[in-house]
Amino acid sequence: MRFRSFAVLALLSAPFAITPFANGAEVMRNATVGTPKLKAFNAIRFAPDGVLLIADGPGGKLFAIETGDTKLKPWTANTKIENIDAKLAARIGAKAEGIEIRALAVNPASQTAYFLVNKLDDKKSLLLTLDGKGEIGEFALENVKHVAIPLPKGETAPVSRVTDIAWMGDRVLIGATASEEFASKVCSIPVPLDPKQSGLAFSAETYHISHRKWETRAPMTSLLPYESNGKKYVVGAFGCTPVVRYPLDDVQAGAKVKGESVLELGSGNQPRSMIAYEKNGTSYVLMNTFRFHHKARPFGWSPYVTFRMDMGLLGETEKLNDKAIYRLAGTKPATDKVAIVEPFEGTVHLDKLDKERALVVQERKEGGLALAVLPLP
Amino acid sequence: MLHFVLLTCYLSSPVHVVSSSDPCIVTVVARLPASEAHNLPSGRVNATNGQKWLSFVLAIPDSKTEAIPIFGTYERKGTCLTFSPRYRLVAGETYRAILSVGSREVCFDYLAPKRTPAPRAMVTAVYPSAEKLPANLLKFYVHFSKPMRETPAIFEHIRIKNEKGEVVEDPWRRTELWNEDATRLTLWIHPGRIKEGVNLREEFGPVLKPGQKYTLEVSDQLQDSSGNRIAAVFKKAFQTTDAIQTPIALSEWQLMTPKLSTRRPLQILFPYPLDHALLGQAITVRDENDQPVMGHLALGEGEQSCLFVPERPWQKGAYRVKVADRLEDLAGNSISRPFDRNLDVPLPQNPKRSLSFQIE
Repeated sequence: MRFRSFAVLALLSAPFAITPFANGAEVMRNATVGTPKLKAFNAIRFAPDGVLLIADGPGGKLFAIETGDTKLKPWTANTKIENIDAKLAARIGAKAEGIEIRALAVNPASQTAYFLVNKLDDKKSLLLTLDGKGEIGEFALENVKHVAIPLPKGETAPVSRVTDIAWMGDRVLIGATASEEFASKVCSIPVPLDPKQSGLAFSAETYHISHRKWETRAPMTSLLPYESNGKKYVVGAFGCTPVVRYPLDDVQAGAKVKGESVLELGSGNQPRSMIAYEKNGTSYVLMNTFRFHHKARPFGWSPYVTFRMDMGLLGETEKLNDKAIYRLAGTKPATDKVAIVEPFEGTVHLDKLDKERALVVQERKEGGLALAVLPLP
Repeated sequence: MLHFVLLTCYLSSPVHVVSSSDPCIVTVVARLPASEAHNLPSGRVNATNGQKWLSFVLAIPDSKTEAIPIFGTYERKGTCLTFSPRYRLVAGETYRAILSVGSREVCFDYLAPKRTPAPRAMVTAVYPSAEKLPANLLKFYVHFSKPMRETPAIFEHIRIKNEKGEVVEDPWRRTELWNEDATRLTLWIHPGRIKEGVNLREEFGPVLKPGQKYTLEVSDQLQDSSGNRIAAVFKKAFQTTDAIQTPIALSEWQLMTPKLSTRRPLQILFPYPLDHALLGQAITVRDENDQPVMGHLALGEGEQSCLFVPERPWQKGAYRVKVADRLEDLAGNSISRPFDRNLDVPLPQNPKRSLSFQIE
């Protein structure tokens, strides 16, 4: 009986797939050993086999770096490290207020957390690590095996800042924005990552649910790979806050890829990151956002709010664009497929630790930041 | 300097801190008992072993948490164990070197001196510079005299006030967009408060309303890259006009053509101000063979005109001012499209992208 129940659930979740993170496939090619020359660290993510991806918008490059960090150092349940900002800062001789944690990425090969940290007094960006045993280290970008891939140039303005990176298995997607033009630009770089192949740039047409218009210019703030019925998509989240699915099969350079809006999370939210997971046979997306209208319309004590969405929403074929689902009707929930996850309140940075847990950096009510291992909801 | 210290290692305190010409770049030097020194390998020592004898930490008075050793490299030469922090110390902070021998600890405190006060950063310009701006203004460029600290906190320190002095609630799109040396910040008014019908605008209203007076206020809490506050509050007063919701029409531009055989400027007048940063990149002058005429483009007052000064005197012939699609007005409208548009509605075909003129 138990087996039968499982089979039904598996069938229900079959159309939606989380991009496999399988090891073994070649991640990069024609790599060199040396010190990568970065102008800026905008975003970090991991590819398989401990390969770290760093996007440098001003320098117009994606770097893939072999960390060699592939030995699993698992985290114990319920780990909580108070004042993580102060602890990271102390290792580089600064106080908590002397640094900023700009991003968090968990290396799935080792479960080690990589923090993109800015040392504010001398404007230095660096990568600090924290493994499952609580050891803080530094990943120095010196004499590392790496590739540097130029970001493809499209018709729009030069990239000023990369907003997110998504590992898609067969390609890496990069969402970008520009300083002088309000432009949406997406770069697709084929895997294996090879300096000789810069990929292609395209723009995205998005149906903005709340004002019921199509637009091409809003940059995606967060990306998530997604597969359904054998087709590849990227899911983009935007400020104020449509969640949009874009088909990726057959995308051409310079194309405008038309998305399908599946959900409107409501105004005043700025998505920060998304992760996908399965629990009890159902697939979900977890998204943390910064609520910039927290003072006027708070959802809790912190402006950092985390939503859990039923991944089935991403496979929606009828309730799209002008018929898309709204999370709220007025101030009351309009769907049970999206929920605020209270234990994740205050989550500034979020990444998936393993199939059952997330690693988060959370604001604390009393000030400072804590790092926590939380069960996926 | 370091060699001198190593030589004198035996003569002074068993642990001390030696600075280089930059007092934030230091070496910690410790003297180990001769009977113990051989427990460490000669030359480079790994951090785990080095820290058993010598650690260097940020000293925080009244801190209840254990001090955490700073990253760096250890080296033993004879009975001298040295530690070089990997990163510059933070000016104004106190650090402690701790030498542990058996149950005995010897400490040495080092204050990384505060930087010599330098002239403080200031706001040097804000664009658009015009005093009358459309109610659907999309962005400001704030220029600073020095590189600034890149932090999301910047959005808390730049505000728009209405004529009653009330702060307009959270007007910015909170994406930090700095130029390469962090001397220019592009500050976007949240497009969700500009576009008609967007839920953000519906709930909170537009940031700017037509026919009103406002002040952009840059707080003196803003910090430069060294952590020093800027010299003074900066204010830019402006008045709003009706929103501009149509594409840029070159047919509304005027050209004042210069005289033959002079290097007098070609003057280009716009009916309303255009984007400061894009103007410098989007306009070129071409000759009758479509070759660029070399010269210098200068922006006029309020970004409502520009002057093109050729490198060589004007020759007789047909010319044109070519305008790239990237050019936008203050509301983000370009030649080919308005900023706020429904993609289901077709755009006018083949908008004018150049203006012809003749030098005779």
